[in-house]
Amino acid sequence: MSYILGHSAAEPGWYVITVGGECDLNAAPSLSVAVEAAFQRGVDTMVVDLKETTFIDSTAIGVLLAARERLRGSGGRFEVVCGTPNVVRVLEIVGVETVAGVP
Amino acid sequence: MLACPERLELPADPSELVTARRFADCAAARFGLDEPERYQFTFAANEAVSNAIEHGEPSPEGTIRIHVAEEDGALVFEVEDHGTFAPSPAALDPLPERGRGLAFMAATVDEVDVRRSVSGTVVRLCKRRAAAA
Repeated sequence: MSYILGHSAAEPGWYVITVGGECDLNAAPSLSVAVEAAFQRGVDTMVVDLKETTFIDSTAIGVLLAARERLRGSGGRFEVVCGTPNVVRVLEIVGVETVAGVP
Repeated sequence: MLACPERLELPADPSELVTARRFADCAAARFGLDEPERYQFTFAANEAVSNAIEHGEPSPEGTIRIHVAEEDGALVFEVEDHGTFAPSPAALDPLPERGRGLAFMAATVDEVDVRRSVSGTVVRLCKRRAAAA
């Protein structure tokens, strides 16, 4: 698993975490580090881009759900962008809504 | 694809999950699950092995045992460890929002059975082909 934490200078508080590869128990700590880095920099809109993610497990989904709760609690926004049909389907089954493109 | 192994022993380490997923995916393909079901089966198998790695203790030889079989028209995946499947204390858990594994397994395969005994825990997953469901 690899990730890129992206930020636009034009939109303060807007961060995109782009996750590539297989996101499992072995990789979830790295995802957690990326999420935490965004919070420390004052994220108010977090976009998690899973278009290049081929696998995601409950641990990684848990990290995303925790980030969503934290942002909603502070009036922020959280979106998951997803392109892989298999990953979209699993996220739907477990109750994570996704959008088609980066908002 | 047809020469998938039926048994696998892995060290109890998260870096071994990729091997467990390849094993499950090969078995699902050979069994004839369609693409979405195959992915869901592998997803559930990954959760079961993750639980064994996290909460179980490896066998005396230091491994987790995995077995796949066809029974009554269903694909069965069994993971055996020698722990008690007790969730780790939340305070010691560096990752938030854990413990969804069992619910996720139940949502992606037809049957989930957890058998605990003094010698360890066996998690058994069962998935049928869509046409037969």
